[in-house]
Amino acid sequence: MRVELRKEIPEDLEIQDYREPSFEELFPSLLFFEKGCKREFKEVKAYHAQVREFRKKYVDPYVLEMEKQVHEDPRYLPKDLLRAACSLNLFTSLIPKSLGGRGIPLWATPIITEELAAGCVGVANLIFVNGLMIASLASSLDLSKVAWIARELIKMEKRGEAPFLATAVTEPSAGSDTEDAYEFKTARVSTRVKRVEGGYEIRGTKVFISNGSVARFILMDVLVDQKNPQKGLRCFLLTPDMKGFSVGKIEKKMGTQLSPTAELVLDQCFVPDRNVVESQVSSFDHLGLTLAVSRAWVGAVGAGAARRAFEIAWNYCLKTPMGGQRLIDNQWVQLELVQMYRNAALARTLTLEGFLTNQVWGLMSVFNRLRLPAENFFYRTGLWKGISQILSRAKFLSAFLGRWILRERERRRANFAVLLGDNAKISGSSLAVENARRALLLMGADGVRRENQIEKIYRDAKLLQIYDGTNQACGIDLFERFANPGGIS
Amino acid sequence: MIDPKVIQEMGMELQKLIKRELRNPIDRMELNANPEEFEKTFRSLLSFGWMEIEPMAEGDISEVDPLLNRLFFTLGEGTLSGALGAAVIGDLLARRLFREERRPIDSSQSPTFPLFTELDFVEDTLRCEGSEGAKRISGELSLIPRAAQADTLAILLPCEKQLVSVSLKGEGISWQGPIETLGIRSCPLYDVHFHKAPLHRSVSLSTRAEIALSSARGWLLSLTAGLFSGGLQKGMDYAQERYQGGDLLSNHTGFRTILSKLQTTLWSAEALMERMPQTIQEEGKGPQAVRQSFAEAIESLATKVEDIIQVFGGYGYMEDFMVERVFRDVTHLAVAFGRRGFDRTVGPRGEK
Repeated sequence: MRVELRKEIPEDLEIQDYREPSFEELFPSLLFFEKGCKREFKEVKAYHAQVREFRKKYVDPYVLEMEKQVHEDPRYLPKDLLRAACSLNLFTSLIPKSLGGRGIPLWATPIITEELAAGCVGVANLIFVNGLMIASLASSLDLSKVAWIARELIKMEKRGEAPFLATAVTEPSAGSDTEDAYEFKTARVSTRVKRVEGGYEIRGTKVFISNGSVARFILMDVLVDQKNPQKGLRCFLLTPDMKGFSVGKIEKKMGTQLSPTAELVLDQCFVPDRNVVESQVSSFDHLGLTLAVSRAWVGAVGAGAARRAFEIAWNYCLKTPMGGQRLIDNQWVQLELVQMYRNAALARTLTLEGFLTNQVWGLMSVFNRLRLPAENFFYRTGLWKGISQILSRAKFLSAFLGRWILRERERRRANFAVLLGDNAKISGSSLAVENARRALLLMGADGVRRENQIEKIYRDAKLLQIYDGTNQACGIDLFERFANPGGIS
Repeated sequence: MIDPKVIQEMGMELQKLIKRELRNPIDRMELNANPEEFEKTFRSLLSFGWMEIEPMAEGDISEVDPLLNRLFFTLGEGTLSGALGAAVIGDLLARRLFREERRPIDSSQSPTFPLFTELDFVEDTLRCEGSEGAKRISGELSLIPRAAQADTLAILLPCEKQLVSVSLKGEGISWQGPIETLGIRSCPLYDVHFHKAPLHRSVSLSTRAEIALSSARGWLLSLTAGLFSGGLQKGMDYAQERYQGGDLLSNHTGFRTILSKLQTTLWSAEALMERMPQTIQEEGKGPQAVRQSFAEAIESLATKVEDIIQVFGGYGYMEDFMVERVFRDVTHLAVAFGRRGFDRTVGPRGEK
């Protein structure tokens, strides 16, 4: 009656305990950087090790407990974790050294993100969703606002206060279409802006805003002229103390509970002129430069979730008996694990590709123009910080960047960076969901138990296919950019 | 033969019961699990007449199962939850197994079954000891529906070739729970520990038990397909109200393609579900074929249910929209009776 199992593994093959991959094993293609930019490479490798240590100390052991706390109190924030994140400069890691930040290069974002997301997608979102706001602000090329926010962030982080930022785009009746320049005209937006003395008055509601309830600054995108996709989008920097601003419902979500998602209500909210972002590029280019980074970043979170799902499944199959032998001794299990390994590797590769392209053709290529040949000298002597603060206030620089990015060749290149960002997002998120599902089904009834974490990864990873534009909307965006590399001009 | 009219009428009655008595408590309990309230709702559902169905065709399952399958489908579709259905299946399967082996459980008893255990390897965690007539079991079984509320647990022991039952209120039993799980959250699931627990009854297994298990696979597939259908229906309604890019979602060919794929996945599952009662009876490979098709169909539903969430975008991810519950419950039910990967390995073999 009982099914007899055959051990489907070579006799002299001893399967060893799972060992977390080293930096080189995770990112072999990056080894070329070691020769090309040795200093940066060393810095990134060291930072990766620090983030891994942070993850193991503050995330891995408490992840289920923290999720439970949020379920009981939606306003709960893990204070110790956030304090440690501040001391590691996780909130400001991307801000250039010249502005007082950690200065981790943009290409390293997926490396750091994957490491943290492997611990918890919600924690990665809680900390790194700042990057979306910074990328969006930077994409406007309003350097004075970038420098202002950078200064504020660094001050808060030094005090040990988590400097949360948020980006508010989605509205109750308009989601993914507000992130697509081609669909601006038809999006059913209801937020309205009125010019008043000394600023603007905003009325409306924004929904599903990550970190919306805890953010110190909110970058709000509002469509002011739907008929004109070139200049239709306006960005405002809001703070929670503004008159007429309030936080509405905090959503109860299926997953990623550690990152609060809130509704923001604007009842004749007054925004002074100094908080209006002066974008130097068209709405189309602004969106493009932002999405190239933000969507590739979602792919990196997916790579982390896909990797963790594989790791959990591997460890489980190694230790779990089935019919007198280990689960891993079965060939069908081995093939399933191989598929999961491939998925994680594919997610990582595509994400890295997206970010490397951003470094040379996207947002960072714009800012690289500002780097001086003697930057290192100035930086070491402390002069560069002062110079960059002064330069950031010079409007001609923003205008120069704006004109430069509008050149046809650069616009086409930036467009390609978005295309790869879309690709990374769609692939990374789908591979994460697939790996979590495969791991769950492989673990059977143990997979649906909360304590084994895989069901949490499955719930969390599902969000990645939805936010920052559903994968379907990203697919359409990818098509449009592939079909017309010049975009709307 | 059961009159098709009876199937239709019972389906309609169940729909009314769901609307009248079941939907609200289930929705409430999903947000805040309450085993006592669940038990009350479960018992009110049992009184609907599940126990009277079997005698209708005098034990001929090809007569009874189409009716049961349809009712489980309706239950999943109407409640948008797998919790009640899983509890009813646990009860009915325990009864069916003992009835098939000619030792029926008394109708006043409340049995359950370890629905989420790898059935071929129960003895990985459970051992039977003692001499014939005074046998006891030790070990543990996990995620048993209503173990703290039910009074009898039916267990299949493939090595021993026995079907046994243990009194859950008797000596040598302890349990932990409710366990936190991905889905069917309102149905309390418990880990049960056995410390030389005496067997209440013990019968030798025949092929009839295997047929009873095949029926239960059909019920589970029907429940899951019903859940999927309820979620898809919500998705179709949403696509006819929500605008994207200046047009209704339902008018975008990309979305129509997604909906079409979801619909055909459901139809395939329904077709298998309807065919199962005949397949079970087929000479030789019946139960094996059911096992394979069950694995394929339920895993396909669990994969495709991810796309139902996509139709709703952000709203699909929020608890108060109920679609995320369909997603969780369908995936949870897909691990019933063990691992789908293993089910496939018991399938076709090369023959000389």
